[in-house]
Amino acid sequence: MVAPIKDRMRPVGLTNRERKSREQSVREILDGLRTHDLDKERAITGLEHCAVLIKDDSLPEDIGYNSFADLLKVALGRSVNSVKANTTVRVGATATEDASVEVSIIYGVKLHLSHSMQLVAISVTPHKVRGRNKRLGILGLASDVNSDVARNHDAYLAEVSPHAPS
Amino acid sequence: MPLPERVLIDTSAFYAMLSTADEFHKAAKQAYERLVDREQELWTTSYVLVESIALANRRLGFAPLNTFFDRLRPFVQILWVDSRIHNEAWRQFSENEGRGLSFVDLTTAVAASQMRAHVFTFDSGFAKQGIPAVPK
Repeated sequence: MVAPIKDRMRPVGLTNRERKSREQSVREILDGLRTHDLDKERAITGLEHCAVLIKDDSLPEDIGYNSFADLLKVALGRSVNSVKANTTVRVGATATEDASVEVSIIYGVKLHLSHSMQLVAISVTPHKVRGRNKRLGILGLASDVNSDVARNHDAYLAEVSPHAPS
Repeated sequence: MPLPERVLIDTSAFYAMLSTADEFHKAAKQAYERLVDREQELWTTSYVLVESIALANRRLGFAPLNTFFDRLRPFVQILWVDSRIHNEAWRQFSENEGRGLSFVDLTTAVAASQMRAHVFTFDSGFAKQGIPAVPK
């Protein structure tokens, strides 16, 4: 049965089949990372799939920062944290194509895709890469004794102002 | 639906980010990291700030609250709720006779709609009202 168009098509126009195929390919490439069996070309392909899936808003949630950082390390030949100056590296067989879409994959790292959704360049802005931790520094600064405060914050707020009418 | 450029953070998300004991902390951390990595504009409203400050000060104390907002200030922009947002939220609140989303949540919903932003929240009431929410 053919799914309704609204289910098949997402923002970048991937069909379910294309989406699944890209996801499966990313997972195989990440497996290669774990077994240290990944070359630069495959890492670039993995990043390209990630960028397209991010643009499609369909990248699985378990694929995140660590995977991106590892793929970038193989693709660039060094860790993004070691890049000192603003850098743009052209990559892939389509390096002559112009970039028409950019996807921020890690704070400070952008993937540039061609009109045909092929990865053509990776740009790194070191001061932003370093600023990522600062932005994450707001997480987990305290611990409430209760675990349902976010869910029931209105009720807890009523305790803050006990005389307010409920 | 593609992620919008702007995301409006509500009290439930702030609290879940702040408190490690919260049932939504892990989800909040993951969602926030994604928002940061996608370089999306992060916003909140003055009314959400009032609510969050009151709640966190009462439950967690001033020190973590102070650190939280000190670190947050450089990269979360504040939308100061004006009379237009306030009055529209009040109109909806009156229409619902106070049921459903709280008044502050309605100001967030009205602001999100005006800014074409998604709301970073753990309050299912937004989605029920058709407001796009993060996390999904």
